[in-house]
Amino acid sequence: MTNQQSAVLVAEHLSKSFQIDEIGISVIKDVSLQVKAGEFVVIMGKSGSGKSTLLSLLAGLDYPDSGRIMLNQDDLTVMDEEQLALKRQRDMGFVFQSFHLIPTLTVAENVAFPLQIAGKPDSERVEELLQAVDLNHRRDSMPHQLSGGEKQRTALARALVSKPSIVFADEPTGNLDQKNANQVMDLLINLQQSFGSALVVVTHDQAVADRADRVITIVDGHTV
Amino acid sequence: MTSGLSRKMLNRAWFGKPVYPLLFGLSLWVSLAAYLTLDSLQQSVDDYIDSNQLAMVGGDLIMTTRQQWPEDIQQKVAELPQTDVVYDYQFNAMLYANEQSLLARIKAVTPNYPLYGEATVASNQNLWQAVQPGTVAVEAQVLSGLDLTVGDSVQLGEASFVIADELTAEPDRPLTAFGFGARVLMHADDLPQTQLMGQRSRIGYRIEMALGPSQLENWKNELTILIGSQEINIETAAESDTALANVSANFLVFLKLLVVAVVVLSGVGLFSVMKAFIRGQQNSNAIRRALGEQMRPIKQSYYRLFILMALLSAVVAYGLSVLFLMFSQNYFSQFLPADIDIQIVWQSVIKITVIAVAMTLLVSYQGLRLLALVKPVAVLQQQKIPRNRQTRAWGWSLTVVLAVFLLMVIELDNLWRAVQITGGLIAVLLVFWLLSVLLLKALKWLVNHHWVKHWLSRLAIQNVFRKGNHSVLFFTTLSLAVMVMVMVALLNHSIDRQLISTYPEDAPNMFLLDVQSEQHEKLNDMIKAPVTYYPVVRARIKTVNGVSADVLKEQLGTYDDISRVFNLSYAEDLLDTEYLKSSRDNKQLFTDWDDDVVVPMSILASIADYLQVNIGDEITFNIQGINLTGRISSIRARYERGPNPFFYFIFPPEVLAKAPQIQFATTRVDDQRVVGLQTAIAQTFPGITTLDGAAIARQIKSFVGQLSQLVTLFTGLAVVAGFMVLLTSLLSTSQDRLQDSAYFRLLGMRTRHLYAINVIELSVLGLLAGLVGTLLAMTVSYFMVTEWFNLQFSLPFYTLFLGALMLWFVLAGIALLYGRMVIGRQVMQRIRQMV
Ligand SMILES: Nc1ncnc2c1ncn2[C@@H]1O[C@H](COP(=O)(O)OP(=O)(O)OP(=O)(O)O)[C@@H](O)[C@H]1O
Ligand SMILES: [Mg+2]
Repeated sequence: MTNQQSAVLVAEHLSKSFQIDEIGISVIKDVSLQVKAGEFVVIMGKSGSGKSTLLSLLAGLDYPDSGRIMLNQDDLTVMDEEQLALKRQRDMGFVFQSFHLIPTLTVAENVAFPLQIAGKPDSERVEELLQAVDLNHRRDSMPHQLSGGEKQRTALARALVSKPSIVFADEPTGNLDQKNANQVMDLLINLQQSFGSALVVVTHDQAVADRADRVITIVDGHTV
Repeated sequence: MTSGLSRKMLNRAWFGKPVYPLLFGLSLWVSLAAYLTLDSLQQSVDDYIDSNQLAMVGGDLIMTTRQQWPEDIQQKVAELPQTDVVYDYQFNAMLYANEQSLLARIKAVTPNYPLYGEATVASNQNLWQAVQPGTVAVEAQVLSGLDLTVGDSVQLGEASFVIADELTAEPDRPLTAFGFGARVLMHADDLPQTQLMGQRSRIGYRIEMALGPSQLENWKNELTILIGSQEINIETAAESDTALANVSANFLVFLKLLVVAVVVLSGVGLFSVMKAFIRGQQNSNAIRRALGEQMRPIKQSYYRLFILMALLSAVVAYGLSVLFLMFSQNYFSQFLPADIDIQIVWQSVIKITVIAVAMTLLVSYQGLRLLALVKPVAVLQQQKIPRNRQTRAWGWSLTVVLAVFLLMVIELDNLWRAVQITGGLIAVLLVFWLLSVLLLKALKWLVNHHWVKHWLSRLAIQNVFRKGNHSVLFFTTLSLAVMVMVMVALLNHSIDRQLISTYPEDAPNMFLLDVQSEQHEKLNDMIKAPVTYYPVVRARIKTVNGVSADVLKEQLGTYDDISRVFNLSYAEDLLDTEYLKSSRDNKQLFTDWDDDVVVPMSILASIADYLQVNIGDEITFNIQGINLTGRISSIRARYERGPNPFFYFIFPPEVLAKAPQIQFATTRVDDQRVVGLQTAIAQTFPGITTLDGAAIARQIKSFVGQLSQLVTLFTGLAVVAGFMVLLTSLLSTSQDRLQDSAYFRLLGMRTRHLYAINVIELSVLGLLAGLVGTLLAMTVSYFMVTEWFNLQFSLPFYTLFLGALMLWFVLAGIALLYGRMVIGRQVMQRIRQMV
């Protein structure tokens, strides 16, 4: 296939189950999907349908029971945890529902963190991102001093600072009011488009889905 | 490489809450400071011994004996230049002046004394310029004790001497606590005039020689040949043990072992603090992992922080140690020389730094295994990250045991002893651990089966069994430490009560040495109280049932030393303080054996056990070259031990009456009369030495008191370490406790009930541990007091009560403080999060 060339992320026949009290619960059942470079994909589904689980597999945060995940031609399922970490460092960005900023680092330091661990500190790039999310005036604040919207904007800056080829977001607006939610979503899409990163967002929000290039719906562990 | 930000985030998290660095520090400071102090002390003592060994021993080669030197030895020694030899005679005698008397320790030496080191006098003159023949130098005690000043005369035996100077230091007597009697230094040539040298009980004869290294072995060999089988001891300075070396080798090492235990405990404290901290950082660590940080730099950032803390702690410990040494010199006055220079030694500083870092690395290694449980996927899951599972780590445990063992090897400098002591330590710990587990299990059973009725107490006691609590460990530590401390207190109390504070009613309080038969009548008149005379014949054991003592020495226990000199005596009847345990015939002390070569003999049960002999067995003694074989015809035992004299071997009077002997006597007089009588006797019979039983008891008391003080001090550190374990385990279970409190509060529980839960939990745990330790201590010391010391056992109720009260105060204090920190501050915050 020709479009396979431009696909950043290709997942084939993924399945995942959890063992609870010796009973296996199948959460993801034979899911295949692709995300092209620069594409904005939304994953929707009812609560408990397996969206977060799927995202964790795609982002190499967990291993599938079977199937293959290729990110920029590298198979994530054969990597060990350390290699996966390296891969996340280089190629991925993350935004979470509950922000997950590092509580003991300032806003600017949180944004700089991915560059630091990759051994490529770049203060100009950090400035650029802080400007972009309009948080320059809060750069030295600690996370607990920020509002929800500000926290999530910090997280956006952190997700995009290392120019990842793909950004994953799990309900990034789930903990925000409508106004802040809209602002964050606008920002995320803007940044994603200007840096050319692909974007995979899990959401319940139809308004977000409406702006996506493509919507994947999960029902009972299957894509439909 | 650890990035700057990793370091920053960790430092801020660690130092942001003072509780982490504080508890980490406290865990280490106490143990490291104690270790450093003792190690420096030991090092200082060893250095002192190294540089003063020759002076303390007195010469390169030393001979000692209890009899006048044989001619051939004297001739041989005369071959050395006169300046390289000192003859030294030491004994106790009474000094008399101004109608007062004083027990003195006489030291008569030839004028080349000292060969090494320096003896100084108050006038700063050269010793022998100050002390001319016919004069003596005396210790300050003599002057104050007899109300004399330099220039006055003092009577010693049959001669009178002018006090020429005050003796301020002797190179060969750095410790004054080990000898009874004030020092009088005199010329050996003056000795005959005193007429004290005849048949005396305890004269130490000593020859000190200065020899070059090349001559030393030769001389030793030649003299050894000359000595042959005579009772003369010969040793080089290096072979000779000084009292100070014994202190260092025994007591300080014992204290060191206590401190090693404290160090191990502080490791547990460290572990809890780290665990609490790492658990608190779980979320941050999950984020770091999710953002792609490698495990290595994450671990490195932790190691870096903890090692930094270890180094800081070593610095603090150094400061504490300096402070302690500044204020604690008095604690050691009884067994360290006055002129010793105790300083923190750099080797010791390096040692504690290495220990601190090594221990921190070991503990961190295990603590950081928790990081492996952090899964990056956790950031996507709403539920809390799962509790840490207990990780079994046999390899790690083995490493810890090895590390402790290594420390022991370094400390004891003896592989086998290190194996024994490490093994013993582990065994004792295991026993206490098992006991703790059993008791806590029983407690749990009681609670589960509704023996504890009150709901609040039930809740509180259930908290004891919370996962991650180091209840068992705290229990083990506290009960063990309490046991040692209570035991020291109990022994001290029983000994003090019966031997010292209340000197036994009917026990003799005056002892007279070197009495002669013709003096009995006059003495009885002077004393006007019953006097018991004991003849003493000195002898060595040659064979037991035909087996040579040299052979037996290897086989017998450590109760006594078969090769020492024994005191034989003779009597018609049993002493009042003894009874017959068994007898060959009809409750008779002696019965004839119908055998011309052996004589009947009565033996004391304790030594019979040691020698493994019974009625009918034979022991051959060597009395100054003459053999005497006794066959046991009765076995005696003592009603109780105390200051009453006793003899292991007693013969019928006709057997020993003509043997070379000395006599001593005991009597009991009113306490007020003792001093006056001593003076009167010294005046009338200068050759008799009188000892004041109560005064000796007082001196022993101050020495024993200081020993027990030090043991208590260092055991106290173990208690502190035990409390650190408690504090840190409170810290590491804080999150769960907070959660519980939040639920209780949400359900409407009152604040004082929340506090009460903590107080009850800690009180039950701590007091139970204290009780167990106390009960064990009582059992052990009961047997020690009644079996070993043959004393009555008595309990210091007041002290025990005070101790229990203090323990409870500390426990309740910790509980309330902790409650305030957890309940007061954070519980509402937690509740808000929950709704
Ligand atoms: N670590 C786990 N262990 C056991 N079961 C799990 C685990 N993670 C997820 N599950 C189960 O898998 C199913 C899917 O969970 P997932 O979090 O992917 O749902 P979701 O679609 O993200 O739901 P929501 O919209 O509520 O976030 C759920 O039933 C959940 O209980
Ligand atoms: Mg989800």
